Amino acid sequence: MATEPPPLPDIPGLDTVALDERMQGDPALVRAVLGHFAATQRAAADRLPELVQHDLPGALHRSHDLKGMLGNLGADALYTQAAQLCELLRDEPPDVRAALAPALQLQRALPRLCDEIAAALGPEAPPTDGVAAPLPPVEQGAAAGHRAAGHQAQDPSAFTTALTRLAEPLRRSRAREAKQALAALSACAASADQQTLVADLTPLVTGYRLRDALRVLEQNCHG
Amino acid sequence: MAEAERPKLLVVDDNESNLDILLGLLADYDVIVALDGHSALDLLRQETPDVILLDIVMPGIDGYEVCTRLKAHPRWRDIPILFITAKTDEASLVRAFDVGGSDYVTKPFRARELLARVRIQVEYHRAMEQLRRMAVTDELTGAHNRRAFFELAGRLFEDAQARAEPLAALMLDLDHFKQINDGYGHAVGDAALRQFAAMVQALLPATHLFGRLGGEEFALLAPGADAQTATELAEQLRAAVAELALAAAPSHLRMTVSIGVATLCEGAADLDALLRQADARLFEAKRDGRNQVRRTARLSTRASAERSGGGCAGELRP
Repeated sequence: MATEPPPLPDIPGLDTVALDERMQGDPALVRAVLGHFAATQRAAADRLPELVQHDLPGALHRSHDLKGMLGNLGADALYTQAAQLCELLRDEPPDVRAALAPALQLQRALPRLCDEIAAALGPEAPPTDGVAAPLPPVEQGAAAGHRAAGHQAQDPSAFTTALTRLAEPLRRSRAREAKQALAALSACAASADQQTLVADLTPLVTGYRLRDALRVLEQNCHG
Repeated sequence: MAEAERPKLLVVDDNESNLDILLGLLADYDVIVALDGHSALDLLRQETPDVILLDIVMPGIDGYEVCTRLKAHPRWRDIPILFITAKTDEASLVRAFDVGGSDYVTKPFRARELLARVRIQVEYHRAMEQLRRMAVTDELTGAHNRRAFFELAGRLFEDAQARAEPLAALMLDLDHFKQINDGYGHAVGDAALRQFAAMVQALLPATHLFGRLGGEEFALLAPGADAQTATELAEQLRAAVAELALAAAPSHLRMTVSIGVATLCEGAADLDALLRQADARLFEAKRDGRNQVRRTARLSTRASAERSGGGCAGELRP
């Protein structure tokens, strides 16, 4: 049976109450969202100052993306910085000198926020290298259940069946169902090759690149 | 909620964290995901969502352009588009409505507000779909109603004429139907009409158009069908009706149908002329004893119709 995740400690720079409200009070979902954010967005502002200096449309696109994402996440201070940067870049003409300050601040602060989140989530938090983004909590529970049962890992056809089950939501662009199917696949990956395939598929599925994931899966099946 | 009943949403956003949050929040919906505008347009070729949640700033084509393309397409133009964006300025909002957006939510969004807005758009879309269906459907039989039949038939006629392709019209009338109504009551008569229409629709390919013109009179347009194909189809329908056991009637009660067939190759100048030709042959089929197919002014056919080649050159000859 899935256990309730421990409450999140305060995370500097993050309004976890707002995020919790946005997630309808689902603590497991909050953890999954934060874990994925910390794992994939650490470098999202790395090139921002450079873009501000050399590629204003690119800078505006990036800062706008950060604004929406940080706002939804409840990272209020960084959201304000990103919003300010958007305003400065939209000015006619854009104030590049003034825009550099929030860009640099975002560049410095975003990795720190990701580190704070990873620390708050604890040792089960995914690595922040962007490779192993987390599966939703329900699916993690299901995967653990499968592993505990053990029988699937020893059944050679189980992996093939799980691969077929994953292909369906990938074809139909159903991310939620694809994540569930990936968790089931992960649970019955026994050999090194199977685990490598799961490792290749995981960032694609959790990153919503479902067609790329389908391509990898089909190449594997035909290879 | 059963999968088929769950409202379907297409969420288009290029940011993974936003998608994580939205996917979690929209757990009660069947959600399709696209990371950019082109992928969204591709997905729509296979899926028809109830509502599209559309980001504006995305790689490739932006949300405004996606919305503009959708609103220009007859198949997609009625799907409500809810913009969900970090663009908070008035000009962006006004532009979103100008290009055809139905609603506009800014990031960071409030969960309950977003859910309420999505729900309202889903309900609106479903209500409109139901109204559209009702407007073109004959309530009793589920076939196209008279108005929808003539509208769609006009297009089929023009297409066939423009491409010089075969087209056949069939007029169908249930024989002695008044006796069923008078003898067994309108409930039995209505059930018979429903059963007849369901049977005909089950036998038709998706390309064919079938409508109820009134009472027990129906019409059918068969694109691509020459005289031979149309006659075979008519004969198949006639035979199937004769075998039909009426569910709501005494077991001995049977129903038959008379059918008149006309083809575009015979030179009808317009749809009315084509249908008039088919109707005249239906009249002859009735006059000559009913339960038969009449394909020219002088010859009635049964299942083993005489045959010649296909297309206009191969029209059946009397």
